[in-house]
Amino acid sequence: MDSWTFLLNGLWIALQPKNLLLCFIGCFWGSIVGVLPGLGPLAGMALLLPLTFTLDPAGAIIMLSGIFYGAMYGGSTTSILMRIPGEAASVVTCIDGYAMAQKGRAGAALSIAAIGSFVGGVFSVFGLMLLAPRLANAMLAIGPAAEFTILLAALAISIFAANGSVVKIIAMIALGLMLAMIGLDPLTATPRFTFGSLQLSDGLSFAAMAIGLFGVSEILMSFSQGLTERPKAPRLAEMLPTKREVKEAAMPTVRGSFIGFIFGIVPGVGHIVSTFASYAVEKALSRKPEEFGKGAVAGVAGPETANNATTGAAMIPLLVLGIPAIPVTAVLLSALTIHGIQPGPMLIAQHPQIFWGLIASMLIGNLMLVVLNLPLVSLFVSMLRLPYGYLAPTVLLICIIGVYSIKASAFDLSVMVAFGILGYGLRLLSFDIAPLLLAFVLGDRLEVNFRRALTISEGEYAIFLKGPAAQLAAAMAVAVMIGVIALKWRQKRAARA
Amino acid sequence: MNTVSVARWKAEIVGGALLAGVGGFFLVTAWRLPPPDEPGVPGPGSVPIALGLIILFCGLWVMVEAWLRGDRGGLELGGRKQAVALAGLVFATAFFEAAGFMLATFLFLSAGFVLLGDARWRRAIPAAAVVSSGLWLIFTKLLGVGLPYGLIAEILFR
Amino acid sequence: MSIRNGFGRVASVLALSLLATPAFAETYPTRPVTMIVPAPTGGGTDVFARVLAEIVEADLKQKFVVENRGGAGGTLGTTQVVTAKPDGYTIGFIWNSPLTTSPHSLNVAYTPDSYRAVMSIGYSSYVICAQPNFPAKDAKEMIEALKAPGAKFTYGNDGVGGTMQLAAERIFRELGVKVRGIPFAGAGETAKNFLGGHVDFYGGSLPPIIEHEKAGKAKCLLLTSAGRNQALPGAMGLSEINLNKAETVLWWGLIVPAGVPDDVVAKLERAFISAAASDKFRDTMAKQGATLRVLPGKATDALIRDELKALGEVAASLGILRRAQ
Repeated sequence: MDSWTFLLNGLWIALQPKNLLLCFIGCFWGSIVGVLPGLGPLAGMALLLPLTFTLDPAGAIIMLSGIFYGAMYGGSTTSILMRIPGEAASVVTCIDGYAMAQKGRAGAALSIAAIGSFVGGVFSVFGLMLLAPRLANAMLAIGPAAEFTILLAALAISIFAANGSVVKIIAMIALGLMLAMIGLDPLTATPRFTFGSLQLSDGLSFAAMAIGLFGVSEILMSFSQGLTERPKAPRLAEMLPTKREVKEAAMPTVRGSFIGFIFGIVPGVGHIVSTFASYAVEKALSRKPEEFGKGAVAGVAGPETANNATTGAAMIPLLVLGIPAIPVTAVLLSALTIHGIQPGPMLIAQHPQIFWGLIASMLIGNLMLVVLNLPLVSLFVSMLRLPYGYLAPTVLLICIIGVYSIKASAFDLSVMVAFGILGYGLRLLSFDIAPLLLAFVLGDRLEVNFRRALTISEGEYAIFLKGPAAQLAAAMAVAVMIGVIALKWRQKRAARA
Repeated sequence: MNTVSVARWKAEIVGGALLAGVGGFFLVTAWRLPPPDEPGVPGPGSVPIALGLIILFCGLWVMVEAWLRGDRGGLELGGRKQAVALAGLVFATAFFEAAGFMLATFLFLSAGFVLLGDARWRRAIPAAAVVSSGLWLIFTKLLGVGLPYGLIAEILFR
Repeated sequence: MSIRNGFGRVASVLALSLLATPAFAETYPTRPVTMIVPAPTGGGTDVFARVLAEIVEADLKQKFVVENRGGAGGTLGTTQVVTAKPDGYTIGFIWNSPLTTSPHSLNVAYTPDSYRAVMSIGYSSYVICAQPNFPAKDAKEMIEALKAPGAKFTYGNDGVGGTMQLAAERIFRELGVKVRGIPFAGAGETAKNFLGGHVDFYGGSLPPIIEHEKAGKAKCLLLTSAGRNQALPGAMGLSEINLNKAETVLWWGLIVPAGVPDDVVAKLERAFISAAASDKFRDTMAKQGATLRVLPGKATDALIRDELKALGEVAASLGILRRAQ
């Protein structure tokens, strides 16, 4: 039997009324927790996990995965409407998605994001189906040395993706990396920059930082722009993207699918790196790169597609190796083990109904999600019709609840306020805050893998070129650096001309 | 509305100085971290020291550039509404746990509606009451988020 | 901030102990009990907690709500348990690391006197596995290879100051061998790097590696428990190489803040012991490769105190005792 026969069997499993219902519950619930800032797929899955104890293993994983990729759809909603990134992967969407909303194109941005998510999601399922074992081997080949090089290249990409002077961007990257060092050093258990606080020993909360830097600072900024300039609430007829917007979104969506799927093999942070990579690629290929940051359609379509295209690859370590690479798949793992199934290299052969049932359900779920999300666009956009004086305090309150809902930590609230002020100051002085957040997300793994590699090699730097994966990563990093320098130079020359 | 503005070059110099200060602070703190366990292998302080240097350098660069360019244009730092929003935020977060969700958010919202949205108290108070109890119900009952009870929620919803 | 909270809690504890009514346990629990799990959703600890909660709920006719409070190696959630109102409505389901390991590397605000052990459910050992082509067929040959002059190997562990690292280093120290420890973020990441050939040995819990051993991708040789485990028949226990005293395992149990009334503790102890002995729970433990060994509160308390002392000595010899705070 080949993959397609297995897929048909999987479809038969996924189309059983009970599994179909579970898939819908998962997707619906995922959309809800994805839309709310702070709450993410992890919280959503934790809440429904006890329910799955009574289900059969295939049904359990179908529902829980639905929450996972369903939340990926919703993540962009608050980014576009309020400039609050629901999760790390929608930081990039805050840039051009929110700019589109300010131009009155919120409906178009949300629709493009939903359609891009659908294309990326479906693409990644096919990738998962056809390439899973091969990609698993590629993932294993990436050791600490290669991972470090890849993450370094990702930071270089962000230099190009960001706006403003290079010195300021580098300062933001260094600051983001430094903030990531706060907490217990994972290699020696030395507390760094914690000043004796147990809360800081865990590091700063990403959500508190991101919501502060983007959401809170945006509210503060909006008051100086004057309330009269608020975006006009779009009419219902303007919800859908125009023909020109669809044309502008088409190719970025295709490219985003590929970029997302490839970057999915980057351990742990693939969904974040892929959004920045896609954004940079679109900016580099665009005939009007100056539009990026001011509401470029490609800047929403590409990253939103890429982000969802990583979901398939994110499942590979779990399904092929039995190893959860991200916290979300750790929950899926426990849902399976509770039913006595220990995923590992034999899962696909021993439990085909789970693997193929899941794949088929992901296809159906993606379809459900796009049908579910498109009508919601008008509902969300109508929120913008509220008078801004009422909207602003409510948005701030949602920021507070979002941060508090993660760990019930009052300390995180203070972090949010502090970063709100910092973000406001940085934006006044035209520092771009997106690279700071990216560097913060990657910083942990970047430093740890650098030191881990050198611990393995006893201080020999040659380890960064040892083995095919490390060599390939190094070649890619060099190519990216040259590309970034060339593109920056072109930008400068264009600006002078 | 009265707003505070400064010349852009001055603001840039202050910003650069703050950045350099942050870099220097991290540099000094990182310097005191334990040295690597074996020579050649970076220890807990190695990367932070390098980053501290980069931040320090970038901060100085920003200062010098601002000095050389001397942009005399104005930079609006903010006005009454920013101050109000910020004060409200600090207040609401500081008393979020102590006062409980309902009281903190109700006060925050009604003050926000009036001072930021120029609403009348007559309209702001019922609106704030509706929004805060609505959010409470959505988050605690529907989504299972643990928000701090306080006297009001204790009476109304327990 | 924490100081102010601390004062608030102390005050409320005082107030509560004044108001505390006798014959409390006859009615306990009258409202839902919060069960704090100081680990994120989805780990072994979380699974055990949720299954136990489900069984106890049916027994005591009251909701036991599992709340995941991960962070700082479990010490944040544990701190939350020990500082909660000692009324029996906040209890903690924990694994041993935040109680017996973390206090050596982290500045935690609790000692065995600030909480009370209610019971413990059993343990799971860690395992050391070699690459499939490693020239050793059992633990004894592996030790020979490690002792050979010029031997240079790396092993992946769960992170510095964690129970797994201390368990492995305790054995290596007894054997007088040096293996380079490479810390990873957890057994899953260790397994990934081991399978990719980036480290020579896998050190970690059983579940991530069992299936790979079956597929011939790993050769599991030595457990950190005294006895063998049926899930990995090829791995020797420490008693077979005369190292019983170096046993370090991962175990799980229930704690409450110190000061919870005795009758409430007794009620919890009875309910959780009978839940742990149920077929359903026995089955859950087996699926996770863990060994059921139900201990009452007194025995668990003694276990905590002994282990805290023994691991403190290992940590001191490794030089990871609380660094600059």
